[in-house]
Amino acid sequence: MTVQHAPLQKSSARPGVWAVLKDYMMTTDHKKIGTLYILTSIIGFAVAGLLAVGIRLQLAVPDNTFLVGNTYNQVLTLHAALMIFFFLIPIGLFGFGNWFLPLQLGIRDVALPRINTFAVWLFIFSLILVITGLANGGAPGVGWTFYYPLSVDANQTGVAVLMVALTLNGIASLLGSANFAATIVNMRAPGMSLWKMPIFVWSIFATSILQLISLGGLTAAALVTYLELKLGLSMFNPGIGGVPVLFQQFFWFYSHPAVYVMLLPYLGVGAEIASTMARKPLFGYRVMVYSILAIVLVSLLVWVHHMFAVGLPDSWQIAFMIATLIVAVPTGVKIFNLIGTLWGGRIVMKSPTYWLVGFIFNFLVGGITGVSLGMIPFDYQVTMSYYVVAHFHNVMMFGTAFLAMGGLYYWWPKMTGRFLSEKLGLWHFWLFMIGSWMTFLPQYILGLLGMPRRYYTYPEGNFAWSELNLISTLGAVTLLFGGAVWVWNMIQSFRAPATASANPWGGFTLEWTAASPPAPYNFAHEFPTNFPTERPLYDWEQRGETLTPVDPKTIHLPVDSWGPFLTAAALLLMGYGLSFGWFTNYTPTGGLKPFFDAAPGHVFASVVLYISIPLFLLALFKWAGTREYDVPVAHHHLTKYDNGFMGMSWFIISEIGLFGVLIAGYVYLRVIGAAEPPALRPNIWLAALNTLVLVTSSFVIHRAEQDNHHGKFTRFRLGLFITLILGAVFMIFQVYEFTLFGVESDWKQNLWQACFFTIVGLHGLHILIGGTGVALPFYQAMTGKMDKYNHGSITPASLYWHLVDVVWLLIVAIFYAW
Amino acid sequence: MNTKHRHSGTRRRPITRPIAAAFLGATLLTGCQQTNQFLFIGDLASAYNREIWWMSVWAIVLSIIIFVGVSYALFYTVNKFREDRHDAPPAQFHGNNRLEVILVAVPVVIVFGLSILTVRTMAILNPTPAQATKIDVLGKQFWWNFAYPETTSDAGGVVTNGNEIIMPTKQPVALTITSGDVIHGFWAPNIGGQRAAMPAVKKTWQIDTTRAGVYQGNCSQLCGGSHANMRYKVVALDQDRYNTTLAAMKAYRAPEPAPGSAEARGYALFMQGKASTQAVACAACHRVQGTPAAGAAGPDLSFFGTRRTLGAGMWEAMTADRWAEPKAKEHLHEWIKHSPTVKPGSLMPTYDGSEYLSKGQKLKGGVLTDTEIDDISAYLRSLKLPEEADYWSGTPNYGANASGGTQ
Repeated sequence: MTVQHAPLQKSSARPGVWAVLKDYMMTTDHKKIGTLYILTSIIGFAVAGLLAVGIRLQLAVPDNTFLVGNTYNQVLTLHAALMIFFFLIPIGLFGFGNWFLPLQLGIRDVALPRINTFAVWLFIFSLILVITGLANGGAPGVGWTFYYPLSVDANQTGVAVLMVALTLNGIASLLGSANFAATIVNMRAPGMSLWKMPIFVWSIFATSILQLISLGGLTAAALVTYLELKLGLSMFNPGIGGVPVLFQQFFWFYSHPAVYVMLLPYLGVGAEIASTMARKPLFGYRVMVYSILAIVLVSLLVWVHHMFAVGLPDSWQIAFMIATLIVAVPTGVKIFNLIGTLWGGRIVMKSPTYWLVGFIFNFLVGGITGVSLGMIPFDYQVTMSYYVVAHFHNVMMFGTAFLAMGGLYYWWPKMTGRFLSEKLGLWHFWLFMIGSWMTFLPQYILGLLGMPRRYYTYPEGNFAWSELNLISTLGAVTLLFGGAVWVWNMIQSFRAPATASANPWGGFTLEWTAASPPAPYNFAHEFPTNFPTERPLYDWEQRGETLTPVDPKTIHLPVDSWGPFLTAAALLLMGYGLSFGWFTNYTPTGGLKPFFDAAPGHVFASVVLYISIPLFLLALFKWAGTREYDVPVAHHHLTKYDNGFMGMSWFIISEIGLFGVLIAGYVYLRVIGAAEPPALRPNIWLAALNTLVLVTSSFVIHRAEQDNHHGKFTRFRLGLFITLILGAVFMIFQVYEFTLFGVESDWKQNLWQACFFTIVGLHGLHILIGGTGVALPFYQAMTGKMDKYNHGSITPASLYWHLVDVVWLLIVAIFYAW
Repeated sequence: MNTKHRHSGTRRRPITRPIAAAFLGATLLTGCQQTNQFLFIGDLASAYNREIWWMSVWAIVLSIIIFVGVSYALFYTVNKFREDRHDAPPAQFHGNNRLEVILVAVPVVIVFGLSILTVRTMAILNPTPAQATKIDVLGKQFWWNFAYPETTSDAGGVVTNGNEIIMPTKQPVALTITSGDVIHGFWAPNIGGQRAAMPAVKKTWQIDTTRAGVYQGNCSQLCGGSHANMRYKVVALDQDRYNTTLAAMKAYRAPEPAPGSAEARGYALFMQGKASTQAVACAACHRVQGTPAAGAAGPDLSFFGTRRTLGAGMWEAMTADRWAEPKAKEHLHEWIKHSPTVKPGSLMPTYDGSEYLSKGQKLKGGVLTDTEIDDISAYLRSLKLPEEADYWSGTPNYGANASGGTQ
């Protein structure tokens, strides 16, 4: 736990496994964290790929019996969930993002390095949590879309754990996204304006914003499903007036933008490859940035196109159809500009270039079939068919994943100091290219020939089904061979010594000035402060400007810490408890029973749940009590706000999104007359009192923050203490109110009550989270961890507290006053 | 009944036959247990599909132009400017605003055009014609009921058939679709598009075809273990036969078995089950028109003897003998004995004492002897419509070769 002075002592002995593991558990180094994301993603891709081969083997011949019924559904659910949440989203956004966003911005780390450590481990633990489901009743078999009411079908397994894992994964993802956004706004190299940032940074920025705005939809869908499973609280249950299609609205509000979360980082990667390999500037840099931003905007307005066949009002369908088709315009611009970038260049035909060209071609076809799906009557025919399966694999598997591969081949020398073999790389490419078309072209035709998706079997005798399915399976096997070549390529590259130069491809962005692989402090130099275009290295070379060497000994990096890892580990335990146990032995159908009457697995998980809470607090406070740097460091940031505040400002967008989605759902149910409050409902006077309490606390914490700023530390500590007391008073009132309301009528029978408990309860949870957040700077202040340079976590905690307060005002309006 | 189809009689002549012939010519004849059939969204015997086809033609033409144009631009660029062919120093230009504007404007115009086509087609397809034949569709795990809300049977109750839907040709048919549990999807591509079957919601949707024949339908929304085994047959009959069949269904009362016959023993078991071995009565879940059996948890069995599909299309008995044919008989026996074993996730209780999953609980089924099961089979086989109302008889299976159709 020391400052990492550079150059590091080169020890000749190889570190042991535990030493390496410990290093990665405690590290705040964005590159190691990026490596963790990439490694986990590769494992996710491998497992999900093998599951896909299993799916194809089952479908190779009619009436096959390899994976039957729900087993098949479990395999396809895990295949999709792993591919999306543990490969395609993380490897681009967080793997490459963590590795290259700071490097391309010319800085030494992200804005909040320890939050980054926490996020990566929470991400890994969410994968582990999904895996523990296999030993606790089985994997979910409801599809990654977990449509309601199949998700609450009593014969289904593993849904609760998927909900919890997706929520943890989501929290990790949001923290990572907020971190990136804060980094970009606050920490670029001096002189680099937003409009001189590399296109990849722009794509990460846009993706992060999109993630922050939309992820609330998925969390809301997962939360309500989870609460119905555990408590019988439902917003969707048609039996009490709920609307099942509301689930789909929630779900697709995120899961359509998620497609662009998967796409955008790779469009950035592709543009970087194109520019470097063609030895040219980007064609229309600004237009490309605008089109990325346009995709972010429009992608938020197209989610209903997944539900055309549900039969929503025509006006809705048409509005969303037009938005859907319009997405093709900025996406098309990206394609044209990539070709324009190649035009007139001197294209170096190395493996990254092949992946890029392959991507453009495949994505073109995927885009065209996507437009066809936007034409609603055609969609009525082929939605939920293999045509759709082929389409989204066309854009994801042999679209964006090709650029994931391209990025890996492109940045591999930077990340490892070694090259991947060109020969194996081309084998990998061609096997993937041919395998993909063999797998999915027949699936397009199968869709037109009426084969629905997610079928574990099909009878003989349907015209051409047997033949096309067999070809598709052969394609999947080809892909498997391609994957094997790829894995071998990565392994064999480590057998040679690290010989790659700093800039092996002749790239134009700042990451190519760092060593390959980069030192922990990234750069032993400072950059010129003028950035004429987004290609600084080219411009500086033309102008004869040079880098200024810096003595690495003067560089301070954040110290390693156990805090983030242990906090994430405690959340894994909590997630385990919440998935397979509960605070009591309560089931919606069976009611409350003695704790130890439950199944042993349930009792164990419930005990784990109780244990996890003190562990979580312990780890969190330990983290808060450890300083980020062991010497006072004056932080460099571009705005007047510190990184904690900036990170939290971005993060609360996601909280607004989450409450926004849930509240929109409630308001809808209320307006259509489905959710009517029961005669006995929570009193407005108690809510008014609670409003007074919360608003007071907001003023108090604001005052306390000012006191801290002016050096009045005693008043500062008192202010935080009063805030905590007020929060506790609020919670006491609310628990009283909930208990009273809970016995007055049955929440399983009243939709309004279910909405009330879900949304107001979620707000109560946020009071607890916010209170814990306020307790952290209080603890830091009481133990003397704050000083002139280090304000601890007061600014983000106070901002979060204000947010919780504002949400409360809205809740009073729609639940108590209305 | 209005037989004049709304979309027929336009300049758009069905071009089904050549397309179908071309496809069939390529059919590989395999030794099938099941009938050959040709599912295709481009089956232009349906006005619905014709409408989509004429909408899509423009999109297809544009798509081909765009695909060829952009691919050509891509590969031409790569070939022309690759290092080993292009020695000149790379041109350091940053873009071309005029070109960018064109590359935005042209797609916008295309999108605008496609939107107009889409809205136009929706305006034609989506409204339900008032005079359309009405059929109610109910999807449940994992079967379908098709009811004729305008036809109340003489024996009481709305005429309903399980897993086989009979519809008239040459007119729009309005399906009112709902689900009894999770979401299902109605999709018979030859006669129209999909519609989700949502619980507690009724959505009306149109299908149609001009060609009498049997078409395959499938569930298109993941609904559990046997999502892939939730099939149905659409039997499109010309107006006269349709009227005859529906009239017979209306008049139908399940035949009373002769005392002492196997059917009579089966009837007793069907209605009462066997309390001594906890074998639940079939009548608790199934309805048979003209008998006290009025269960709603399973598909309607009123015309089982006329039907040629079992277990929501898992097995077909396409010979005139139907379920008396030895292989089919065997299937029926196995089905009654332990349906969850032969169809994953089936919610029907077992009758061999084996376990099955219901509402997350493992339950033990009752027990019937093989003879008793055969008695029930015999009773089921007797549930036949009169000969003239046998909607299968002579109705060709669409896409079947000469030897494969229905006799």
